[in-house]
Amino acid sequence: MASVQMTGVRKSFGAVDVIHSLDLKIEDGAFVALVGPSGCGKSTLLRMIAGLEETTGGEISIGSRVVNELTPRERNIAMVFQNYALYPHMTVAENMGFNLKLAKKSQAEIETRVAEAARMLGLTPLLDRRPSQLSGGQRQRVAMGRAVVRNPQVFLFDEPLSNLDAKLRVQMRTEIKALHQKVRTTSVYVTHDQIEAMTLADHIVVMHGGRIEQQGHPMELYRKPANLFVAGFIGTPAMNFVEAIGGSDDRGPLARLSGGEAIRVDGVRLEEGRPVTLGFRPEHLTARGSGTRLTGSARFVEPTGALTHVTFDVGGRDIVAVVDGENQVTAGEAFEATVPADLVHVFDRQSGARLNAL
Amino acid sequence: MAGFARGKRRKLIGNVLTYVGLVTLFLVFVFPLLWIVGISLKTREQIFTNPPVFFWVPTFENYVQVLTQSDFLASFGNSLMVTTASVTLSLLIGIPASYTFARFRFPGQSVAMITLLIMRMLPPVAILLPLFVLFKAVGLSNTLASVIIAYTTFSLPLIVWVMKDYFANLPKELEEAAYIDGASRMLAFRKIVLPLARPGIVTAAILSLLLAWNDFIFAAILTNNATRTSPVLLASYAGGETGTNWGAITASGVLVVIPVIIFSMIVQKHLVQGLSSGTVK
Repeated sequence: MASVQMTGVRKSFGAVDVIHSLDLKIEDGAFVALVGPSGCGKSTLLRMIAGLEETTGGEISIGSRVVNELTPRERNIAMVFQNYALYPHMTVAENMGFNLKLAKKSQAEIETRVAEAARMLGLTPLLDRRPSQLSGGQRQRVAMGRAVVRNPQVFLFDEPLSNLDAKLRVQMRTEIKALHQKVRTTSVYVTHDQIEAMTLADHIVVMHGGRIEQQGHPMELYRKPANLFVAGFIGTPAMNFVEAIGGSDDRGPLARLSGGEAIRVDGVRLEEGRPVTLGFRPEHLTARGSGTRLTGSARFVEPTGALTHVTFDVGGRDIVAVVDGENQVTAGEAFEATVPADLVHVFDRQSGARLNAL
Repeated sequence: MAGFARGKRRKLIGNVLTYVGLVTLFLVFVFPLLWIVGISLKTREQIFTNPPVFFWVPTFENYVQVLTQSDFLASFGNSLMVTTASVTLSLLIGIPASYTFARFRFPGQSVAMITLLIMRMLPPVAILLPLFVLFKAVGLSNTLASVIIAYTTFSLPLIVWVMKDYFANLPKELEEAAYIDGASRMLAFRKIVLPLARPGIVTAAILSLLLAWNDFIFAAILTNNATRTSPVLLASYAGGETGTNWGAITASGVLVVIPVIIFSMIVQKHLVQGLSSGTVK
């Protein structure tokens, strides 16, 4: 196990800069998710840690070693690929033992270690099969087995669950988490799925356009997004955004919508007339309670079982609220909800930066 | 009920027509071969009987005649030698070359690929004469080496064009997984890429084998009586003072086809195995 440290790391493909001078420290034993929309550079960054992609500038170290010039082999990392990349002409056991074989371990040791990893992942009955004879979930597990069998310094996961169906994805997510809790190997996990990132990682790095937008504990990113991008990216359904003009009255700061409604905000000083974007999460809108009352008519009602998503119209803007599934809401009828002042995020409209205290 | 019976009959007629078609096609393709085998088992008189005899006691005198001539065995040996060498050489050069074309980007890449094709577009004769002059100049005329070099030159474009696509279609992640597992580029190529490319390699090998084994025109010009290959010898049975020796031509023709059939049967297994070894996703 080891920490991974990146200092001023850059990557360009020809004239295109994919990663702009990025600094990131991944603690020993941590589970870090790199998350962002496609093209944000997260996979490239992972491949640079793996040594599959050259570093244009800056320094990457694993443990105390600078690895920029080292081959993937010398870095002692394991990687799980999106399409698993199992060797089709080898059995499950051979796939898992390939690394140990290349490392010239004895046949007996290879067998013991493969058997042990297979037991941990429930692959024992499949050891003699070829990848083509396995289901998607089994292949995924073999790919993980190939990674754990060698006891690497760092695990790298490149969107490992995106080829699985929804149910299996949730199941494998749990297995990956269980695996990490068992072996405690430093893990870097790339995904575009923020739920996967939230559930798995103890540290999330949100990337956008080759830069880090924000990093921290999942709940910290959820509670205090540093800018509009992170606010919109983390959380489902996505945060509601409305444009408003800052101001205050004798009871404190508030922001006025174009229709004249004033939304009370908290933890921020707003000079009169400042253009801002307000954000509030659908799940923070409540039927009762203190705060600003938003009224409108329900446009869409989407029940998901325990919860119901209601899209309602407030002065021509669509606002989404998540309410208890037992609530009777009908499309076309009046709907109202309350926004608590301490859960309204205020962002500068130009820069997108958060204005409430972090 | 009546409708059902009619449907059944229609299906039967369809089946019969299908099989009639298949048998006709089979005969069209196989008949010349059967006819050659037939002639090779006839005496000289039977060969020239008109109308042809369809039932006769087969004789092996043509085979005895051919096999007891040192000419045939010598040319057969030359053919084996030339073919084995040119196929081996073509694969040894062609496989790494096509892998390079598939996996690396370098300046002039597409020009190089097209140039290879142009080589094949020229009529062989256009290349033959310069080659002849060239080999004479370097003292290689009338040697097996000259034919081997000529065949390799002609096989390489075939191999590169077949194998390049094959390599390009193998998922790159497989090699990357191998690097992460601790393999060097060379080792990943040997342990991962080559085994998976086996069906492509077999196809390329068959193509270059047929080219070398069946060639007449290059061997006719570049070899002499000592170094000539089977097709050249076969041609020499035609014409001459005693007229065309059909018995010898057909018997040696059959003997020459046998190695190709055996080779195809052996490698066919690899073709099928390769196709069923499964995908990654």
